[in-house]
Amino acid sequence: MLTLTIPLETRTHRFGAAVVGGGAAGCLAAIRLAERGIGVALVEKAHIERSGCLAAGVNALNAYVGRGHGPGDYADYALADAHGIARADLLLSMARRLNGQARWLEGLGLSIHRDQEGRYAERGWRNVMVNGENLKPLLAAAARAAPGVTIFERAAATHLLAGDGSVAGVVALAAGQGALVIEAPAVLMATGGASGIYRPANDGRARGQSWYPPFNTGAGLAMGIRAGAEMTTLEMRFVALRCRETMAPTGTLALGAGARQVNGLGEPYEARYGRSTSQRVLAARRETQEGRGPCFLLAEASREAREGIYRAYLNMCPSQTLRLLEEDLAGNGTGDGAMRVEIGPSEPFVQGGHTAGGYWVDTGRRTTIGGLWAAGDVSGGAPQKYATGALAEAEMAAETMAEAILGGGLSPSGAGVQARAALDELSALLAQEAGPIGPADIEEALQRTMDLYAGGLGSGFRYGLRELSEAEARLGALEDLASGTRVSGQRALARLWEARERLVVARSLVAHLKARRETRWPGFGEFSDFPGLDPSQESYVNSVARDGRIEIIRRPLVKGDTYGHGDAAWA
Amino acid sequence: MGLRMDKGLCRGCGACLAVCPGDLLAEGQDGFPLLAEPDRCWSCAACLKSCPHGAISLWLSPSLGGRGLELTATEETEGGVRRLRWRAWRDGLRAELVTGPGQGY
Repeated sequence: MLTLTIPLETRTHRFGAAVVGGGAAGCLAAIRLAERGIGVALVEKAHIERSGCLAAGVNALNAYVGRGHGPGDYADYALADAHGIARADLLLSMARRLNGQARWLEGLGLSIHRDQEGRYAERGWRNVMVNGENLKPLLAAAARAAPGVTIFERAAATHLLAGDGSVAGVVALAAGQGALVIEAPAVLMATGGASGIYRPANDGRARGQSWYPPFNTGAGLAMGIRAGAEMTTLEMRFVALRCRETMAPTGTLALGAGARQVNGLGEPYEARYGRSTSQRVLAARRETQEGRGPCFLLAEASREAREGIYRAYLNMCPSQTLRLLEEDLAGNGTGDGAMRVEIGPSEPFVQGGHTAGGYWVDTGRRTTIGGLWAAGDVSGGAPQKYATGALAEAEMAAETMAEAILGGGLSPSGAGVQARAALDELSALLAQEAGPIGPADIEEALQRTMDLYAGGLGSGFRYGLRELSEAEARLGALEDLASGTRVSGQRALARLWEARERLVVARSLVAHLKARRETRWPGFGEFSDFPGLDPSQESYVNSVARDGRIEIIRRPLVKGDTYGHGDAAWA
Repeated sequence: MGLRMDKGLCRGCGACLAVCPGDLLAEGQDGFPLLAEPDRCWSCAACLKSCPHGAISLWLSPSLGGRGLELTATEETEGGVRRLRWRAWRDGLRAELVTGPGQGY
């Protein structure tokens, strides 16, 4: 067979630092680095205006230290919510900066609700209400206005340039045509976590209607895994309890309108379960599994309160307002009276924003690879971040990055050779004529495999050792299939690479699921061979990929307020 | 997922092409914006809000509870305060809501 390699047209740029991913964390980090006089490349696969988790907006800042509480309370809450498997140092350092981020956002123009005394209107003690529909455009405008920030949009990073244990830049596929090489001695990974690893809760044309952005392919995780970075706690997958189908948040109704959960028999059930995030997801699932479903959020809402809820959802998830209006206009819920919204679980996601899966970083947000930092949902060990926590992490990462860059301690090498290898790998996937199997087919097979054999929605979030072994075998075969797949055109190439990224993340995830021999977060997943909590498993499950094999490393819990990669206590 | 482009209202300004968080909108062969991969759309409404002419509407597929109601959003700035006027319609039914500072929760 005649093989033609189609070369990718390439442009090379050099910067003081590169930030991968233009979501909330990426925008802020780029701004802070530029303030220190460092020339920054901000590399974004779509458009920074609305990219990331904040695309539709938010109606609350969910990570905030309310009146009468301190940062330690927030860290304690998040650690307890994670059933002990999170990093005290990361949580505390993040919590100390949460309220500062809220004030900074208000300075950018975010409208934060105030009470009659002029203080931020708190909703519970960890939450302030905002008109945050435009939160991301405000951040994007600040990044655009920052001198020293160069923004590359429609550029999907595919490879870290990482030779001999340190990073020298990134390679990105440009939409339209060709590729970019960004050489930089310091790189911040801020791509967010991974969706699309499991079969989504919605099907067909509505499959993109997911809890997490369908565009978050786990690119940052995959790049790190491939470069040999240590990852932590991937097995703590996040499963969101949401309004059924629209995947809208339940907190808007629960905290905003005092809604309570009832099962199909009309009985309240929350008190019978624990109050952690995992236990609350479990509650609705168990009620349904045991024949008392479906479950609902029930609120007494006047016409005025109802319109308040409509507006709150327009600020965050307009589909839910559409859904409620459909019912309202059809005469199902006119005027005063009860609002009833069905709730159910999402499919599982891998991310470090709500749960703790992601890069293993030190307190300064340095990864285990020289010259590489991580912040936001791609960074592990610190759950309950939400927008303000992601910003806090980005700020801390930018500070330690600036110190390293300005201190002159970084000495990357081999960028040219690494870039050549990456570009060759990408262009080898292009052919004049595509084969019968395409990226969407590979993704569908991946999602089916994970759904059935690694505790997806379709298997009731249960998995066992034999199922996980089956998942491993199938993922291996899919990786072989994906490496032999050839596509035609730039968009198909980007999609094929995304499918491969998801496969890389899935393989590490399955290794982590296998390694944690207990069921610590039953709402997120249940290990049928190890159904209970096991005190001997109170450690971090970490992993490093070496020569295509995933090596598991168990590390003792970090309980103090600092952690360094070389510290003897955790070696 | 469900976006409808009203070709009678669209002026081809291209504003929507530069805001999609999934980079899913491109100029179609007829010069109008085209959602190339509807099954990847997150229904975030970024494109609706960016359209100065109200030419893009969001609708829900029946599997999500939709019955054909369409939703648009138009930006309004008054005294330096930015608000969004949302309009929903289906058959003879209409609803309108304003979000932004001072509009309550």
